[in-house]
Amino acid sequence: MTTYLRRRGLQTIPTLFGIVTLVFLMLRMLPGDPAVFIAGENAGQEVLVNLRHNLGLDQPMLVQYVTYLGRLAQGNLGQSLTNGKSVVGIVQGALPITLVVGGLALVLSFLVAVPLGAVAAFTASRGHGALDHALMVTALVVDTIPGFWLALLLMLVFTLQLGLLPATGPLDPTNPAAFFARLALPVAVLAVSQIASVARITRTAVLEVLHEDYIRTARALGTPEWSVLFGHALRNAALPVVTIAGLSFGRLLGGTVLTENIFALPGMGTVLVNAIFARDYPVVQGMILLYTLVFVAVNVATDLLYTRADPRVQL
Amino acid sequence: MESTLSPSIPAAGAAVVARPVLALPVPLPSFGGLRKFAERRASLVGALILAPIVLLALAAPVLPLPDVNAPNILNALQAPSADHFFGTDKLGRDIFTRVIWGARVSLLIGFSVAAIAVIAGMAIGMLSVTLGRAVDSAVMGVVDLLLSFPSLLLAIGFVAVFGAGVTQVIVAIAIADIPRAIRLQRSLALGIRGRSYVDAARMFSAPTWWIIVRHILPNTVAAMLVVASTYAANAILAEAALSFLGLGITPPTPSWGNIISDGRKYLQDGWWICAFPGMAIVLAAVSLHLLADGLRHTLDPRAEA
Amino acid sequence: MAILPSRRGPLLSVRDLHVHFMTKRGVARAVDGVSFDLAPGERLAIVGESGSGKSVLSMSLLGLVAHPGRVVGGSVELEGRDLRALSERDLNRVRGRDVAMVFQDPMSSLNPVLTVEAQIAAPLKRHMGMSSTAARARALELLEQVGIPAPAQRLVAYPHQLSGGMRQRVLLAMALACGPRLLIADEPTTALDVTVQAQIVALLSDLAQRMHMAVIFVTHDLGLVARFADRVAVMYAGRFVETAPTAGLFAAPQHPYTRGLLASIPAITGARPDRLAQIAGAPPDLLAPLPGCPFEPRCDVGVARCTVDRPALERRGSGEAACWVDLAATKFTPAVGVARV
Repeated sequence: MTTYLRRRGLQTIPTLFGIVTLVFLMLRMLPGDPAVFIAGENAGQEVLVNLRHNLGLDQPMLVQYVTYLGRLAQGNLGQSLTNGKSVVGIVQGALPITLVVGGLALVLSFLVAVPLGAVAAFTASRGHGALDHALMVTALVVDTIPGFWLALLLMLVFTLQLGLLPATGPLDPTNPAAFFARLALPVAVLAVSQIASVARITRTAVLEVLHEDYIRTARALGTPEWSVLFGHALRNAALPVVTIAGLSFGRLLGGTVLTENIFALPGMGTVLVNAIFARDYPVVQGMILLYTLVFVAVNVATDLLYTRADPRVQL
Repeated sequence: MESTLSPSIPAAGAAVVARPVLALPVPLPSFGGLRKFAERRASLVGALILAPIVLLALAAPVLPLPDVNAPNILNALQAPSADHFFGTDKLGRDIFTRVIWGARVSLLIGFSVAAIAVIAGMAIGMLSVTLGRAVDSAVMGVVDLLLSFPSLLLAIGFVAVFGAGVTQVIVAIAIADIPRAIRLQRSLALGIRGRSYVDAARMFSAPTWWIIVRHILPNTVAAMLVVASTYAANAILAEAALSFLGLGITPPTPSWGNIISDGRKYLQDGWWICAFPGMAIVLAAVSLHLLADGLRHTLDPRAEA
Repeated sequence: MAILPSRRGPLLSVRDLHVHFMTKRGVARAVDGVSFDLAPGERLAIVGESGSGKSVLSMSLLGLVAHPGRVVGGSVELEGRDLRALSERDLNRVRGRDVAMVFQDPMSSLNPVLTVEAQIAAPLKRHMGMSSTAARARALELLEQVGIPAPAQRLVAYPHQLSGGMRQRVLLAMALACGPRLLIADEPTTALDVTVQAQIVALLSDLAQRMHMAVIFVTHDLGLVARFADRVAVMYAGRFVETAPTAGLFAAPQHPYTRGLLASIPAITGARPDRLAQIAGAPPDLLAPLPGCPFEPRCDVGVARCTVDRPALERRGSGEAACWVDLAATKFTPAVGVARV
C-alpha cells in the first residue's frame, strides 16, 4: 500500500507538472500585453508598469517560470489582484464547500442509481424488458437535462412557488437543519446529473454478473433472489461501479461550477468564475491547480477502493 | 508501417468487420444498412426529432417570424399564447423566434465541434500510430494530460484566456473531445492493423499511405461517426453551460444557453423564458444520442444481441 | 435391480418433464418428456452430447432454468413433495439443504470476491441457522472431508488463489455442507485434468457412500460413468433414449445411439484401433423436431417407421430403450477397458 502510494505519487508528478506549466503558459499565451488585458484598455502607464513588475512580466520568460515554480514549491500561490488576499487562503475557504456539496451529491446519486440499475438488470435478465426499457429511456433523457436548467426549474418550484427551500442565504454548519435545507437543491441537481450514467453502468455490470456461473451456484444453494442481486451480483459488479464513482466525482466537480454559481455558494466554482470575470489571474491559476489536485486525489482514492472491491486487484 | 506497439483491443462499439483484401471497403451504411438503420426505432425517433429542429434552424431567415432582436417593450413578459408560442422576454422579444435562431448557433457549435474533434482525432490518431513509438508516447502523454481534467473546466479555462465568441467556444469544447477521438482512432487503427487483410496488403508491399487510406480509415469511419453524434450532443450541452455562465456566446446573438441565462432574472415572472430553450437543448441532445445508438447498431453487426 | 424404488418409495420422482426455451427463432424443446425415479443412495448417470438437454434437465429439477427457458410441464417430486408447486421461498429451503448441485466449471463457479469460508458458511448459516463460529468449524471439517490439505489456510483464501481441482473440492464442500440427500453433479470434472478428474470422482463416490447420498451425475464421458454409476440414462434431443443398469448398458446397449457412444470411447488398455468410431452427423435441431425418431438421420439400423413415428421407452435387455429396432438381434462388441471390472 505504501509502496503503491509512493509509486502513484511519482506517476502523478508529470501530470501535475504538465498542468502547472499549462497554467503558467495560460497568462503568457494571451495575445497582446497581459498587463493591459488584466488592467483594461484604459489603464494608465504607471499602473501597467506596476502590474508587470508585480506579475514578474518584466523578467525573461525562463526566469519567470523558475520563480513561479519556486514559489509554488513553497506553497505560495500569490495574491488576488482584486482584494490582495492570499490565494491559498481563498482556496482554503472555497474547497470545503465544494467537497461537501460534491460529496453529498455523489452519495445521493449512488443511493438512487445503484439500486435502480440493479433492478433494471434483474428485470432484463428475467426477460421482463418493458421496465428495463422504460428505465433506460428515462436515463437517456435525464442524462441530457442541463444541470443549470434543472437548477432553475427546481428553484422556480421549491423556492419561488412553494417557498420550501432557500436558494440563497448564508451557509451555517452549526445549524444542521438550515445547512442541509440550503444545500438540498444544489445537491439534488448535481446528483441528478450523475444518476443516469451511474444507473446505466450499474445495469450493464450487474447484468453481466448475473450470467456468471457463481450466481448459478449461489441460487443452487438456496440463496434468496434479493440476496443474489444485492449481495452477490452487486458486490461483484462493484469494480466498474467504483470506476464510475471516480469519473462521476470528476464530472460533479465540473458541474459544481454552474450549480454553485446559480445557488450563490461560495465554493471553488464561484470563486473561479468570479476570478475569470475579474481577470484575477493568480486566483484563476490557483483554482485550476486546486481542481487538478482534487482530481488526482480522487483517482488515487478510486484505485484504493478497487482493492476493497475485488481481492484479485493488487496495487 | 512499423509495428512497435502492441496491438490493443479495439474499443467496444467499434464497427469493424473483417473482409477479404479485394472487397470494396464500405465506409458508410449501404442501402441495406440504411433500411436496417430505419428499422431501429431509436435512430428513427432520433431522426424524427432532430430533422424539424435542423430544418427550422436553417429556414429561420425566411420564416415569417418577428425580428429576433428588436425590442417591443409593450409586449414584455407575455406568457405563451397563440401569438407567441413560447411567450416573450423582458424586452418583448418573441422566445420562439429566439429559440429558433438560437438553434442555428447551438447546432452550428454542436456539429462543428463534432467535425473538428473527429477529423483532428483521426488525423492525429493515425499519425500517432504511424510515426513510431516516440511520437505515439508524446501524443498519448498530452492526451492523458487533457483527459485528466473535467471537460467543462478545460473549456472554461480556454475561454477565460481567449474570450467569448462562436469560434472560441467551438475550439474550447473541441479541445476536450479531440483527445477522446485520438484515443479511439488509435485503438481502432491498432486493432485493424493486426488483421489479416492488412497483413496481406503489406505482403504485396503496399505503401503505408495506401494501407491507411484503403484499409484503416474506411474501417474506422463508422465508429467515429457514432462518437461524432455523441460529441455533438455534449457540445450543445457544453455551449449552453458556457453561455449560461456568460463565458460563451454573448448577447445579442441568441444561443440556447444565453437565452436561459437572460431568463434567469425573470424566473418568477416569466418561467417560459428559461423553460423552452432548456427543452430545446434536451430534445436536440436526446435525438443525437438516439441517432448514435441507432448508428452503433447499424454499423456494428456484433452489437446485435 | 437398482431401477426399482426401494420399499420406502423413491427419493426423487420425475414425471413427463418438459422444458422449453422461447428463442427468437421459435420454441426449443430442450427437455421433452423425461420421467425417472431415483432411490435413496442411488447413483444415476445422465449421459449425452452437448445440446442433448442433460444440463437443462439437471437445472430444471431445482427450478433453476434461466430465462428464456421455462419448465412448462411435468412434475418433480422429492419424497412425495412436488417441487414445482413450491413457492420460490420454500424452494430455496430445499436448494442446498435437501438437494445440492455442483457445476461444470470450478474456475467460474466460485464467487471471486468472497473467501472460501464465506462461501461454505453461507448455506450453513442460511439452512442450519449456524452462528459464524459454528459455521467456521463446520467449514473446516468439510474442507478436511473433501481432502483439502492445510484447510485452515484455505478458509481465508480467495478462489483465484486455488487450483482447479482444489476449487472443485471447495464447491463439493459447499454442496455437501448441509448433508443433502441428493447431489446433482453437472459435468463436475469436465474442466479438470484427467488425473484430477479421477480423484474427484473417487472422492464423490466415497462421500456419497458414507453420507448415503443419492447422486445424479450428468456427463458426456461414459468412461467416468462406468466407474461411478449404478444406472445410466442416455439422453438425446431432450429425451431419454435408453436407461439401464450400468453393467447391462455397457455389455449390451439397446439403442443405436448408445452403441455409437460406446464405440467412440478410446480403449485405455488393449490394442488401439486405427481410429475411433464416430457418430456421423450433427445433433438434432431442437427448434425443428422431426416427426419420427430424432436419431433417425444419424442411425445406421433405421427402418421405414423411424421417419414417421417417434418411439417411446420400452423394456429391452436389462433396461429400457426407445427404438423401433430390437438390437438384441444384432451383435455388439463392447469397448475394451472401460467396462466395470
